[in-house]
Amino acid sequence: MNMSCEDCEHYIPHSVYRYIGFCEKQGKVVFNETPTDCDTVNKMAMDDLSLVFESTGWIYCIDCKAPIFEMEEAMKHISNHHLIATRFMYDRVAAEEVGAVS
Amino acid sequence: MGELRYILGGPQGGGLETTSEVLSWSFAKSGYGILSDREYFSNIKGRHSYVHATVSGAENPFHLSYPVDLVGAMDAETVFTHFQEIDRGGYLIYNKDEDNAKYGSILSMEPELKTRLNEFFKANGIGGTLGELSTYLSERRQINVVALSYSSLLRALQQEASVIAAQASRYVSSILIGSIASLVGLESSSLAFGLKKRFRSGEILKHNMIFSEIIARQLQAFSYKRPSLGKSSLSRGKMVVASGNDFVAMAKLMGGVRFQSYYPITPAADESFTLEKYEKVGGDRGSIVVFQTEDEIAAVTSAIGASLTGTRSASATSGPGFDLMTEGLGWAGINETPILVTYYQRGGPSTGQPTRGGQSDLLSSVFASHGEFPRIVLSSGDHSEAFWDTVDALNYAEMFQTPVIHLVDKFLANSIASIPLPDVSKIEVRRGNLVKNGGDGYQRFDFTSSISPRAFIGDERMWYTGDEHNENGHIDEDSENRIKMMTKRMDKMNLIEESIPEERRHALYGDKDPEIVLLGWGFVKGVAIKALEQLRNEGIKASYFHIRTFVPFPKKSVESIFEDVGPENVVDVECNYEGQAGILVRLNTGHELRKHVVKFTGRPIYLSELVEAIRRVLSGSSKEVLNLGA
Amino acid sequence: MEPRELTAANYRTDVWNDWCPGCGNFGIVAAMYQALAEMKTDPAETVVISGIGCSGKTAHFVNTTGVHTLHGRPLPFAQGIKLSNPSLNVLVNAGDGDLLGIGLGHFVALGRRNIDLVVMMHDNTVYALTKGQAAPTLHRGEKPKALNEPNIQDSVNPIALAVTSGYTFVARSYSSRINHLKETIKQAVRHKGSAFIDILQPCVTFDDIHTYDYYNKRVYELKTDDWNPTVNDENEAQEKIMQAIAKSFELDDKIPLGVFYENTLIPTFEERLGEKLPGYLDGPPSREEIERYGKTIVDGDKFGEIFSQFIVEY
Ligand SMILES: Cc1ncc(C[n+]2csc(CCOP(=O)(O)OP(=O)(O)O)c2C)c(N)n1
Ligand code: SF4
Ligand SMILES: [Mg+2]
Ligand SMILES: [Zn+2]
Repeated sequence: MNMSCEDCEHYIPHSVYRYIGFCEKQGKVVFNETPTDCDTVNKMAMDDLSLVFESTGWIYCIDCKAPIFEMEEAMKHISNHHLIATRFMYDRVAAEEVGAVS
Repeated sequence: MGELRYILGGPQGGGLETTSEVLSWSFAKSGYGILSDREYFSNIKGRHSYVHATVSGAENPFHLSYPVDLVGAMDAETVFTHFQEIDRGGYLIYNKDEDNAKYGSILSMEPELKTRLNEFFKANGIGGTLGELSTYLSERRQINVVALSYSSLLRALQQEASVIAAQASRYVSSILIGSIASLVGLESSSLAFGLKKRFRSGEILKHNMIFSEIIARQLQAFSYKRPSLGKSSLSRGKMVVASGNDFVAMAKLMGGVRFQSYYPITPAADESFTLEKYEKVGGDRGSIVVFQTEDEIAAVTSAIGASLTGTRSASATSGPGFDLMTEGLGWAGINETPILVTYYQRGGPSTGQPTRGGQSDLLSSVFASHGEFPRIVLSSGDHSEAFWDTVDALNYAEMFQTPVIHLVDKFLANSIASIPLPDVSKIEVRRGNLVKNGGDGYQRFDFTSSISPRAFIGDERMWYTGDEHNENGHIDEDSENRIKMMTKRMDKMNLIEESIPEERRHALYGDKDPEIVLLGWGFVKGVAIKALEQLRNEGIKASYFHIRTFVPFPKKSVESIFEDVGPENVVDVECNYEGQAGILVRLNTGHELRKHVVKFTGRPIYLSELVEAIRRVLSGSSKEVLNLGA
Repeated sequence: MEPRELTAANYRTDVWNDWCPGCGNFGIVAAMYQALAEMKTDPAETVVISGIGCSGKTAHFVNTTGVHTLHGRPLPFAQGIKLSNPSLNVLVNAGDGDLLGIGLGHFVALGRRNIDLVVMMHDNTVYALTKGQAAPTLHRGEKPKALNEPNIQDSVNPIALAVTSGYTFVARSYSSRINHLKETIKQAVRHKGSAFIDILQPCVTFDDIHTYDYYNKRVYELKTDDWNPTVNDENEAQEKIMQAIAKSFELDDKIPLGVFYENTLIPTFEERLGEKLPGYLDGPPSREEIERYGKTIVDGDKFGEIFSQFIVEY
């Protein structure tokens, strides 16, 4: 089975639409792709994930639209095939579109 | 005579305050009722200020009037400013050392006053010196002029006692104290009592006693008939003699205020000073924190914070400070937080007339802050009301978990009055719907009770937010929640309507079957009630309708007044330009006030001018603008 | 509330956290959850007070008592709460706009008092909740994406301002150095007096300058072997203040994290009050009995005694 981009460590997801992302390796936007010809696709390791909790303290689940603060909790989202990330694609739409909200 | 009215004037910072206090204490000790108002400029030292008092053997007076029986002048400016206010046969005590002083060269006098004096002196063919004026007053106005050489008096004192340099100017006020005491024949034990209250003990007290004897001897030289107050008919007992600021402070302490925050402002700050004097009253088991903040925003928000922990908390301010508090007030409103703001009214807008009085902040207190939330607005008419209204305000704030604004006029705040000792066993402390041990399921804004179950921070875990929230105090923008929460909060207004009876919202004085009704509030009360007596003597049946709460409004009683006497015969009497209470009458009842007597000079309404204005209204005038007072 | 062992997760509320995905604020609450759990803080005796802004929502996300106040005013609310019940553990989370813009007067005033509470500033250089206008922490000449033109106002130096205002614990941390931040919060809570933490917090939506990458490249931790911020004797205070100010201006390539200044020799406001009011610490305002059977606790005799100054007997 081929891995999809969103499982790859080089994939930086869009923060709202999970089918949009940015591939750091190729330097281009990808849309919900499962490449057959990509030789750099590399799954993020579990110990990388625990490092995340030790450094930033949280990870974000795009499907649940919620921050996760503990490893076990993150595992639950992963086992449900949720997309989690600590960084997101650069996006200027929100900044431009959203009005002052308070 | 039965009543003695006097004005004592002098340069600000020159000991006038002392004179007023000592005389108030002394008269009270002899059984007389006293009201002593202080009028002053926004200035620390040097400008003319004066005390205007009514002393009565028949009642505890709450009115001031012109003309007065006596003017005691510490300086020439006082004589020039007030000589026209002395009644024929009245008295002027002044310093004849200054006979060469000309009003034209007194720089501290307002130019408008000089122009008016110019006209007067020209019309009467008098030269511009104090000496000439004094002659005019005694010869042509039948005024008993007590011309004393203040410097010789002081020298005489120096021969008997060594005058304390730093307090030297205080002895000038002692001249007035001594002269008045001697003129009206005040018992020397009462004078000694008044002096002791002020100076407690020590040299200065001793000197004042000696000085009053020297002055009494001097006054024997004057052969005038002495003014006589007659014997007091007031019942014997204990009296409280204090300013409005002090009465509110006492009530706050009695009512359980343990946190008061403030930022200095006239005429509110004295209340916080007084409260601070009693900060240790709890001994080693309690304390009152009087917190001087960096501004009024911090004053109101820190008081709200204290309230969240279960502390009875309050703040005291005046117009400019209240403006800064309005955002905080709304936070307290949406968070159902008890808070009392004592709002001392001075002349506005902006800095306005910072040391003068007025009643122009009524609409501001009723409408201040954006959005809609329940509130209670009380207003006090005299010192006794100020005391009891404070007690009620604290209870209402907690019973209804909402901000309470207590309006006090500067006239009331800064005047000293005597009232019978309040029966403090009647002071209730009602804390409202409190919960303890709510546990994990505790919800601060629970929908099931109209008044939310209030736990204190520290006892339970809870949330508060200025955003619209759910029962837990978390932000919630859902429409249904909004409707429920808004309705629950605003429904407290109905509860307030039901719980505060009509009789608590107003008071009615005077004729039971009047032809004319004066409608007023705040410090108008005293003078209006007194005016009724005079009108009755003239054959006019009048009553005074006194508004004590603006929210909730005494709607039914106002309506029945209009029905009873007809809209033509209700006269709005207020110290503001627009007739603000009248506006609220119309808002609440639909009745429009067609007759107005207003005053907005910053000086209180005086008896004589009010009676005169009512006469004019009765003969057809629809609006009278009063202007008496220097 | 029953004392029981709470985990970091217990200090989270179940309120949905609506900060933007990736927001630096997540790191701040993560550190708070851990710090509160490690210090075994009682949720009912702990109060998180916030202002208005993205940072203001913090009070709803922490499972202690939370008071979400007004823009710029969390400090005076917090002081009223703390002074009327000094046994509470009071934490303030505020925006840089809250503290250094609209509420700057309160910020300085708190330092002068040294009231025992912790102030955490979410330093994101923008007014995030109103769409990214320049906050007082944004340097002149910088242009994050929401600005049309580069900022023409100079920035406030929060550390220098805190030190000179009288805060007795002043530190900087970074929302993506969770351990550093957690330990700094714990130190600040333990410190007796006003503690200030300037927390670098990337706003991923409005600030494209001060990103994670930007800070990750620049931050470094002040190490105890060559940096001692603590005042050990009163004569040292001035020197330590000067040292902290100098360090606070090092911002360009290297941004120091750590404690800039610490002084435990200054009495807290509560101690100052306790000194003049003998009953304050044992019977603070919130704990004093003011009512018995619905009546005042002061009877007529006591009234006469207390206010004898105002009473005349005729
Ligand atoms: C008195 C007042 N003025 C303006 C606003 C609008 N307002 C809401 S949040 C905000 C700025 C928030 O910036 P900051 O304090 O830095 O918090 P952040 O959102 O960056 O965490 C402003 C100006 C307000 N709520 N109240
Ligand atoms: S706007 Fe900025 S500060 Fe606010 S939640 Fe989004 S990323 Fe965070
Ligand atoms: Mg900000
Ligand atoms: Zn998920």
